[in-house]
Amino acid sequence: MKIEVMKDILGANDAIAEQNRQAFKRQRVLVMNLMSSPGSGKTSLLERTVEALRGKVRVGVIEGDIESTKDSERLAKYEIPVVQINTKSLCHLDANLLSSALKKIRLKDIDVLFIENVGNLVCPANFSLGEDYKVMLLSVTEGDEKPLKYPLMFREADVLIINKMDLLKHTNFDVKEAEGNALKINPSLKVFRISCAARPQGLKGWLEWLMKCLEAKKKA
Amino acid sequence: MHEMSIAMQILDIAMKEAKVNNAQKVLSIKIRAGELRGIVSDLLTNCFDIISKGTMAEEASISVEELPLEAQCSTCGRIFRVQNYTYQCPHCQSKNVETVQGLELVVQEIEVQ
Repeated sequence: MKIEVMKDILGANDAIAEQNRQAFKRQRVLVMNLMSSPGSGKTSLLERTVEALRGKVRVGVIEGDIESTKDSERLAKYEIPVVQINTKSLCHLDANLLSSALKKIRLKDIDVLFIENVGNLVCPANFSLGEDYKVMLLSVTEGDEKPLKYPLMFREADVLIINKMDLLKHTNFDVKEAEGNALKINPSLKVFRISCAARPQGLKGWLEWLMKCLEAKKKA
Repeated sequence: MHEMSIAMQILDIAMKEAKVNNAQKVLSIKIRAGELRGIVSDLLTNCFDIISKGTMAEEASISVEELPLEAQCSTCGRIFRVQNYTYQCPHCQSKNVETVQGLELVVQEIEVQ
């Protein structure tokens, strides 16, 4: 016997993501889902961002990693709420994992929640968490053709941060080519070029955009 | 490798449908997957075989129909096949276009006995 089912496979995840979204909305918390390949600088971006917002904006972080608490330890010095999720073998965060982690954080006490997804350019793009914005990083040591290889991630992202600009001269990365490839897939993508390492550069645009989003969320 | 998570959801959906229909066994499962989802069919089948062991879907075969990426131009209204992931209308060159096909991930049909 054949049965017509027509059920969305991601439906279960999306339903929990929607519950997360409602919880964020009630507390007017702005939520950013940070995604990139391993080593693109998600944690470094968080460090610079937390430093810049200190005393002005209350930040919370959810750290997603397959194993280890290394990233949480890096953020511990800022004395902000950080919750570590170890996904074990799972290569991405999903709405259910996030929902469990949210029980350990008081949304009332924060303005912006950053979710650092597992380093991976493929899988996290499929799983909505209930975030306001998907922010992805691409570092100049990776390759300017990446948008064409990982189209869903670049299509789903709202923001593209091109990181490690300070290393550009040591690579054959073509920034215009990378941006062009990304904008072909996603013409409304917002792009920032930055460096997070020893001498941070270009963070101003990113921080201004963040503050604008926060203002809008508080008024919503 | 998101195929494992996807396989778990597929199994969940198939088992629920089979139970509702008082079936003894799931024979086959038809999936529709949009091009942008990047589902690797063999990998999905392997994952499904692993997690379905010992369930009434353990012998089920999975077939994946890939749906090509298509978009509709908001300026001229035409629907076109998105080539090389370029979101630009080939007719009027507008970049104001929306995906109309290529993001699906659906259990379309199961066959049970």
